[in-house]
Amino acid sequence: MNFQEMIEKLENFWKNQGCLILPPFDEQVGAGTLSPYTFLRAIGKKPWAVAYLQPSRRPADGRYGENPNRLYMHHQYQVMIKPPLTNIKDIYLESLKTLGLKLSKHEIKFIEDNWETAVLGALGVGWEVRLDGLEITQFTYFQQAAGIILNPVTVEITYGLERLAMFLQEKENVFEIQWNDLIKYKNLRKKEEKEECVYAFAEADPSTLFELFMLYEKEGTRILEKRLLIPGYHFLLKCSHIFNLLDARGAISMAERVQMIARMRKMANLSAKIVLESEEQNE
Amino acid sequence: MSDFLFEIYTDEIPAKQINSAISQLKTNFEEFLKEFNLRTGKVQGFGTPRRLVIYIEQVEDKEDDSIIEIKGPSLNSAISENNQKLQPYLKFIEYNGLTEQEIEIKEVKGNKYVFGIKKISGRASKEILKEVSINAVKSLNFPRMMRWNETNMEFIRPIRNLLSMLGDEIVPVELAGIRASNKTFGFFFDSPLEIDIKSPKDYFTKIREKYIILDFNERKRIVEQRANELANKINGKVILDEEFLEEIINMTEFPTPFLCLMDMDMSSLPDCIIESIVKDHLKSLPIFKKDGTGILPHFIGVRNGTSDFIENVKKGYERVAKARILDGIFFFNEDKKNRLESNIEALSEVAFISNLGSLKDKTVRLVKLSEYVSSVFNLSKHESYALKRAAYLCKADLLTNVVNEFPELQGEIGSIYAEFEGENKNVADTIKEHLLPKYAQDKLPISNTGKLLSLIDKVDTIVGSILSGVEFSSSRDPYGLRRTIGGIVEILLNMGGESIPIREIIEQSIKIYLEENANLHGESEQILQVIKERTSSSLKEKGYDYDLVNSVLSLNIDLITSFKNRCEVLKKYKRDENFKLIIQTHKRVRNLISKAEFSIEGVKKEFFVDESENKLYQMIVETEELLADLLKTKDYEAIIHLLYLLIPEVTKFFENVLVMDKHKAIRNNRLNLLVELKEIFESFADFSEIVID
Repeated sequence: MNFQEMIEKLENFWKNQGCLILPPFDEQVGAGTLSPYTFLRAIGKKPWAVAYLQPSRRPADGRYGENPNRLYMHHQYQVMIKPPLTNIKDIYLESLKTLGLKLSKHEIKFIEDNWETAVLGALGVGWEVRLDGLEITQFTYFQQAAGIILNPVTVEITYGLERLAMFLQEKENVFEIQWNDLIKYKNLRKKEEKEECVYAFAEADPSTLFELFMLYEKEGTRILEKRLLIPGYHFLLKCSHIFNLLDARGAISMAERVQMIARMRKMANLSAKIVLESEEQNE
Repeated sequence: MSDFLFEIYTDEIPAKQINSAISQLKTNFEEFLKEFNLRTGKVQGFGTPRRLVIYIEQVEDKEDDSIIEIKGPSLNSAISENNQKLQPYLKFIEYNGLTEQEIEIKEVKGNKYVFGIKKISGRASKEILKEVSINAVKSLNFPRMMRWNETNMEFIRPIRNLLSMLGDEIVPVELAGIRASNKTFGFFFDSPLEIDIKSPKDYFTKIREKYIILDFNERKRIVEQRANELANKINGKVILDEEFLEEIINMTEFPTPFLCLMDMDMSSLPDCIIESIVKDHLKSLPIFKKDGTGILPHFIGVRNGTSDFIENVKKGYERVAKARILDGIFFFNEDKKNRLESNIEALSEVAFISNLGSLKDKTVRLVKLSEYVSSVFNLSKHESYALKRAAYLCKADLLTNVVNEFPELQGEIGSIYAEFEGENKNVADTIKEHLLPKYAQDKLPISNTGKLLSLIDKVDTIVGSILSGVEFSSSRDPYGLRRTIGGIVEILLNMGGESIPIREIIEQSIKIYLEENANLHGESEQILQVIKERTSSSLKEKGYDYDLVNSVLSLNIDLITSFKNRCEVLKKYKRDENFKLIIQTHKRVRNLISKAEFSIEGVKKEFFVDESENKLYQMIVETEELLADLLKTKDYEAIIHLLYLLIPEVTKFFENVLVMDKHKAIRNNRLNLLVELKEIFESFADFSEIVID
């Protein structure tokens, strides 16, 4: 099964489970969780069920396109349901079957993996799912976001698509994945991986990035204080990406790290507050 | 009479917490059952990652009946002389819901009272077990709980099904919106296999047929036996570390070990990295050469499931191993591009404990402290160099890629890199040992410099934390300070030698902190107190009774290096008849001194009146001389025998003279004699703390 078929199958599967299928959110993010489709929707009482593909950029994981397993950018398939369906785990396992896996011929293990992020004040309890030893999914029940205890809780399922594709296509190198039957992953992405890494590790100018962080943070906070949620949240995501770039460059000092995280956290809290308040107004 | 079965079927429970969950649940059942008069067989607990099970054999159908007596008003006030029932009587039976048949008149201390005698018929066991089950589950405690549905119940992982049966009847327990039934699920192959259960006995048969091994010990036997066989096949051996074994066994409901090969060139990679990859990333057992000289390119995975299609699983594990090893090689090669030394500047960007600056600051302090202890211990030039150099380099591996990836290799990697970069073996070993012991019962540093660096590293952590007011307790200890104190105590107790100037080392550490930051404040006494408390519990854990422990703890803390030997000797002699005399004599001497008012001015022979005084004094002088040598050579048994020789002279002294003589000069002189005697006793232990049965 090629990469694009895999996405299509997952999309169809979750569509049939009643999820809204949305396009990837158009901002650089380190994980699908940061997308407003997940983070902002986890807050408050309104039910929500969504599935979307999300390219995720983690500069520190970049290897100039030369490592068979690590990427600057990879693809996540993100499912987020609130309140969680009772048999959500069984449904997830069904989704693996639609990818052509016969589970009894393999091993599935759910291994404890809880998750916490200071930037979003978010906390989740859950598992990493391993298929014959390979981590293919994060399965998490969100307990807290922006420091708020969530009620109802949200279940989040994040598939690592490259890992799954390598497994299904029996490839030992990510760049050998068939995107469709003619085009390989390397044809599409190898050059881009190299460019991103050259930028992140060598060319990025820390002082410019610090300045951008400050500008985005200032503008984002200003806008969020005017209760303009999405434009403000965009700026938080920009800050987060720039922070990751600076981090990969090793340019953030101890004191700066604490301070930058606190500033992003403040924006996340402001955003969460807007979500909660507008929900109250609609009641 | 019926058997009772209770199963909580959940999503995967964290492997490290399953055994504790089972034992907690079992204890809770036992405790809550005590509140009832219900007779049952013993409570047994089982579990896998997906279920916690309680089984109680032979539960009576109902509680035993019981009789309670309620004391009412006095007969006089309750019933009039003409047998009229008065207000207090009527109120009493109404309030307690009594009938006339339940009333008796009883005499208490000569007065007659109205009593209600109530027979309480026992509740049905089904009802009781329902209540007990709910309470037992709700009282479970886990380090991190979660919520998963609209009931917002908190549990370790989502509860999916409840099975609760007393004989063939369902006990209608309800938790997290789920009602108990008689169905459960077998092993998950392609879907959850639902099973109907007829009775508790039927459960154990059916669940096993559906590939569930409920008993941890049975799963453990399977894994141990098969792992040994597989390792043997390739002339290797597995090292079965209990804690890790528990974790990987508790990731399975039906374990099947299988052998994997890492078919690639790993020669450039240190064994410890391969071991970490196999254990941490693959949750598998590494295989070592039989003679213990190194690791083999194989490992044993433990599948959750049967051996059907196991070649697929093996292929998957081998592929993941390969990718991880490649990662390891990449990180290792990246690290080799830098020298350890070049990381030290960057340690200024790694936080130590809040308010205590960076690890660079810590490194600077450790170097200063290492210079200090080198001079205090009079270390050889070679050792002084090794200690100082290791102090300088010991934190540098924290910034390597390998330690970033495998934090548990800190120290070990630093040591490998140091040797690789041409540092001498002593420096490398000291770096490796400086983090030991990492946990209770872990191995201790062996080299002298390893012990010292480990000690000052930990002293620096504790001193800094206490000076900056970091609070820690058994429930909240984010920096693991209690473990650090435990490490200090273990090193000191096993240091050997007569004494160690631990007080001075702590004072020096405080001084170094204060030079850095004048805002900190604190006393060495505070820190020594914490160390003493831990020493006390550590000695007790080692099997010494509390009284022996107290008797050595009253000594100068610098003598801590000899506490274990002293306790050992006290333990050996405690049952000796003569030993009791030492205790009695010490107590008597101590009491006399503490009650009397006098000034300490030394013994003056000219005030001796009786020959027994002179003899005792002679004996004291001789004993003091011998004692000094015996303390130095730590010949503690000889000290006890020395005291045995001393006792008869003391006894004679007490028989022949009255200490509290009416002449002040004579009295004072005798008291001063006793002070010297007391010092002799207390140079070994505070004997008066020892309890004689």
